[in-house]
Amino acid sequence: MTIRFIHTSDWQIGKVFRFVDQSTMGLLQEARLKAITRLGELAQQHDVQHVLVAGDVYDKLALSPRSLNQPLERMRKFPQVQWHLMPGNHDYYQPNGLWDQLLHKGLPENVRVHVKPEPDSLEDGRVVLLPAPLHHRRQLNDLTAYMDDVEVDEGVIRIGMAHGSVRGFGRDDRNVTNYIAPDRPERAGLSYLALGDWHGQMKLNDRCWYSGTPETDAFNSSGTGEALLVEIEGRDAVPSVTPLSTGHYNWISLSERITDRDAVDVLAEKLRGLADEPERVLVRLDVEGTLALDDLQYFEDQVVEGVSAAFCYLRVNTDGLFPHASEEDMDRIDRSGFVRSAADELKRLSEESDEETRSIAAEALQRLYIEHMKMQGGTQ
Amino acid sequence: MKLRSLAVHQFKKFAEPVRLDGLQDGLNVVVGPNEMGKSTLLDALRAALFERHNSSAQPIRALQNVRNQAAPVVELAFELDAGVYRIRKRFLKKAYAQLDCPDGRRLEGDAAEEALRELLNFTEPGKQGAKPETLGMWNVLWVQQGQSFGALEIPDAARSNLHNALEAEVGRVLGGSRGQKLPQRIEQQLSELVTPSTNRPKGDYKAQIERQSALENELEELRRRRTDLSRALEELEEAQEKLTRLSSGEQDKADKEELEAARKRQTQLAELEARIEAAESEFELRKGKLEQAQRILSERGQLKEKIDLEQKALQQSQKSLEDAQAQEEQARKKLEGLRAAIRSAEQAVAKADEEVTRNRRLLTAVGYKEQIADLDKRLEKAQEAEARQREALQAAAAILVTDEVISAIRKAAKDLDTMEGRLSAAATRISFDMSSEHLSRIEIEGAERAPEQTTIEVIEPASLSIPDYGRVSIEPAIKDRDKLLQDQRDARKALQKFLEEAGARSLKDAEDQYHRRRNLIQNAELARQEAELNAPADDERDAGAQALVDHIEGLKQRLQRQLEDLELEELPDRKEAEEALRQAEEQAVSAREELETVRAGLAGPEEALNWSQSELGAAKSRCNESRERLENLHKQLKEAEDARSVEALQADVQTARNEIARQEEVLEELKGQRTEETLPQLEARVERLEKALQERREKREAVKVQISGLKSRVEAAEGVGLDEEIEKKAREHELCEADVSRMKREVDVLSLLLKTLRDAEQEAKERYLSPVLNRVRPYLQLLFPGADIRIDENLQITEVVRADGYEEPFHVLSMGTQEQIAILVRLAFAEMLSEQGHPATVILDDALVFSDDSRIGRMFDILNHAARNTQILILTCREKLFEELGGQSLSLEAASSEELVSA
Repeated sequence: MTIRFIHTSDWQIGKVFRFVDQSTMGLLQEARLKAITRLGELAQQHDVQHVLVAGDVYDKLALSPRSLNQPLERMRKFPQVQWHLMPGNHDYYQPNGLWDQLLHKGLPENVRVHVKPEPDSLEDGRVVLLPAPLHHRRQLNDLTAYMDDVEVDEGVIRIGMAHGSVRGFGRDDRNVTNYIAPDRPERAGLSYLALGDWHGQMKLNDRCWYSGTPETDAFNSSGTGEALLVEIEGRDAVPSVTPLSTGHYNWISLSERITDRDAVDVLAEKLRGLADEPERVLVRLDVEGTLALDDLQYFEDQVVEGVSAAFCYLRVNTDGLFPHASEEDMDRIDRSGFVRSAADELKRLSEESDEETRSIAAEALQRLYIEHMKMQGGTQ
Repeated sequence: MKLRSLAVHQFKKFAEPVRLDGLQDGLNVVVGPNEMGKSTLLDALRAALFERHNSSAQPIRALQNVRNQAAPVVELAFELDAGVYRIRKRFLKKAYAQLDCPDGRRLEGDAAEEALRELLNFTEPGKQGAKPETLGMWNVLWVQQGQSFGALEIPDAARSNLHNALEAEVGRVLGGSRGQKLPQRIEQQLSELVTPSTNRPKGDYKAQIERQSALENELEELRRRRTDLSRALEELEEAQEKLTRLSSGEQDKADKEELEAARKRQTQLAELEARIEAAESEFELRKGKLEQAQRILSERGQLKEKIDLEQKALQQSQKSLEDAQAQEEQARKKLEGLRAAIRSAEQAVAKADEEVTRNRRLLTAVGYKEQIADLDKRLEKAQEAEARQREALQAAAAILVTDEVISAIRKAAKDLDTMEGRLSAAATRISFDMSSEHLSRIEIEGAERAPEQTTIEVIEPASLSIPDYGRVSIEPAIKDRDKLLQDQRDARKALQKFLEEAGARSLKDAEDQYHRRRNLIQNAELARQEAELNAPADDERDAGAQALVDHIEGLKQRLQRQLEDLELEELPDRKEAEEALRQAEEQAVSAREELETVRAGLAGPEEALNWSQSELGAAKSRCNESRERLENLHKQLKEAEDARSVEALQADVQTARNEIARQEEVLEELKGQRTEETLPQLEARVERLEKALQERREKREAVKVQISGLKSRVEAAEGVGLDEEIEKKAREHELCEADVSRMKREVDVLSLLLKTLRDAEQEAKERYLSPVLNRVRPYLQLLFPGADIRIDENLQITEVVRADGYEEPFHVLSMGTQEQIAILVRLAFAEMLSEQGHPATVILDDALVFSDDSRIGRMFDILNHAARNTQILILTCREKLFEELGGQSLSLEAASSEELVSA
């Protein structure tokens, strides 16, 4: 007999993306909901009856009714799939809190919420699910410990579900909150321990995995946008674990150094070649180096305004990019006269004064350049 | 250019040819009176150089001499680098122009004028003649009379001339028209973000800052609500736990059972107590009955005793009644005896009183008699005095000389005296000085003379017959003699008349009569007073004898009546009468004493009678009352006995006693049933348990209420989705914050840019104008120590900066100061041109007239200094004032008309 289920976690429904504009945020939020539909479709595709969501279904405790109901309505669409939800650190259980609220209003029949560390029998008693729901944002005890003492009939497959860290950042892992012993499967005789909290997918051992979030929600993350298909032949058999792609958006970070017009062209080409579907890509671009005023203007035109239109979102960080007024730039402003004197003074300030003034002076010089060019354009 | 000489003919006021020679480098001064034609020289200068010779424009026609209307001719010699040029022009009639160049060439007509324009850099004048703008730099340097005030008039040609000179010195520093627009453009952009004057945010920037602050507040509010929600959830959890604890019910059950038992015990005990209470009241009731029976019995005995006592009292009263009657009889008899004695004593007193009265009247009558005798004597005296009075008054009445009469006589006598005095004064006095013998022989006719009288007064004509000698007639000349004589006669007649009326012979006789009359009147008054003394007036009568007579008659009648009353023929004397009265009075006193004594004896027996009478009344009523009471008592006894006999009463008492004893036993039996628990104890316990149950119930209700309140709060918050809202708001806030800081940076960038541009512009301007300013400043220091001026790029003077840094716009300065500064700037221009290789002459026509003494002195210094590099021509009418200036003094001289032929 084989038990087959999908392991996912960290849906973070209701998450707000602070840095993007309003419409992009709508897209990103919608993508997180679409991931649920995608999970449902994958379950059907792989003939899976159970989807285990190992915590953090919701990003927050107090969400609007719409945000609360959206995932439920998505799940309701797949009546043959049994969805097992469990409170994580973002949406921990609290009496009269969101979970009670949902339970009170009534859940879809195919949705089960595990708010207590109590065994749940699945598949006509052949499998028992042992959830370790969080009742606080930070728990100091290992909530999976109780699994050791749960007794079931011989031959029943024990599957654990927990949310937390298997290791901390200090030397002693036991001091971290929401700590989960990585050897819990051995101690509690679990065939598989489905973990949530880390957004990147990770295998700790044969029986212990983080599924990662099904839809990427930050730059600098890896192993995101996937779920796990888990197949268990028997109580002692090593489970077969297969990653399934669920994500829609690709979040890419880039760091480039540019110093001249050619480099700007190269960068623009590189960006254009990043993906086949750039509209599914979010880019964070850090540029550094120095550019002549003329080239800086070119960079603005080509990259900040040009290429960015292709992407869902492009964020350019120019903190490390410094304008450098070349002799040609200066001559283009004027060869003599007081405007040139002012440009010289700004150039001096951008090179000699304190950092704050330096950057303002550089920008002022660039501004002078632009305005001067505009006027020239106007007079020509 | 340097001027060397100038000559004119038929030019404006100069009908004859004149010339100005000897103009040298440096300072040249032409002094002359107002009408001399200094300004005409300047016109000639301008005409020679700048006007077209063949023009007939109005300004040219104005050059003609008004009277002659001949063709004006002008000749000017000036020196440039190449040497001396000489230009000669005639206008209007047979006009021509000739320019002699240093190289010996002579140019004619338009060619001459064109050459001039090139040499001196001005433009061809229009049909209207030369204008400031065609004059170029010369318009700036050559100042006509009255035009040295106010702003410099710098035509474009002159300006470009100056600009060229400036740029030749400092190079191109201004940014051109594009450069000038740039700061405006930046300022425009900046002003969209901040208010230029205050640098305060405005428009979008301000709105965004306000929005940021609003968002902060909203975020704060959302977070507060989130905290509220967390707290509500915690409280709700606590409340629910508490409710669970309160609702378990174990304590309630135990309490209820105990309460039930206590209530049961309470009921039983209450019942027992009620029975005891009933038995006790029955016992009391029976005790009452016994007392009642005993009381009735004793009352019967008391009634019988009373009857016995009352009978004894009655017997005693009857006996005392009899005693009282006897006493009363005795007292009455004694009193009657005493009263008879009083009556006889009273009669004695009345008799004695009568005797006293009679004797008193007798004495009164004696008094009357004595009075009458006295008054008779007085009457006699009074009557005698009154007789005397009458006699004197009659004698007085006989005399006619009264007070009025005598005063009239006296006056008349005095008037006569006066008249005679006047006559005597007027009379001719004749004195005789001779022996009396002789004298007596002299007869006088018409005048009287007493013998021995040696002097006579003659009023009327008189004659003296002197024996043996004849007669002497005397005719006195007296004014008004006849009137005086008449007056004298009248006075004498008047006196005579008064005397006759008074019955007097003479004045003396009248006086005597008058005195006699007064004595008689006084005597009459004395007699009257005497009579009044004897018969004075009193309340009843008037003074006088007759009244006294009436009074005496009255007294006599009274005496008569008394005598009749007393039935006496004769009156005893006073002594006897007084003795009789005294005896009668003594007798009356002793009779009264007797009466008092007898009366005093009456008091005791009267009292005794009163007492025994009241005693008798009292005894009678006591006797009656006693008898009545006794009757009542007998009646009561009979009624009582009829109702219940004494034996029956005694049986009642015994029965009651037996019943009390039985009830006592019942009561003891009931009290024996009491236990240790008391009713108050049980009541307290029941109350305590009920309260505990109630409180627990109330607490449960309160917690339920609290829970439902908290639930509703939580539910209300659920609908909002606070965490989501906070996140959204925080995002909005962050974006807004980014906007604000972007705008702030924009402001910083633009501000820096603008400031840098403006500074650079200012500096450029200063540098650009520095050649002018550098030349003006030394002069300015001489004139206004510490001051500076501002000149704009159009070379206009805009401001003066005083030594204290205070800036004043040029146009608000005084005319004198404006003129002085404008001259300084002109000198600077000329110097600058000079140094650029274009020496130029500065001409000042009637300038500096408004300058004060100290300023003009300094201006002279400055002009002298400037004249080292520049040719300066001063035209002035203020000879004395400009003597101080120095320089070369020039004057007009006559010229030969052949040199400058007019037409």
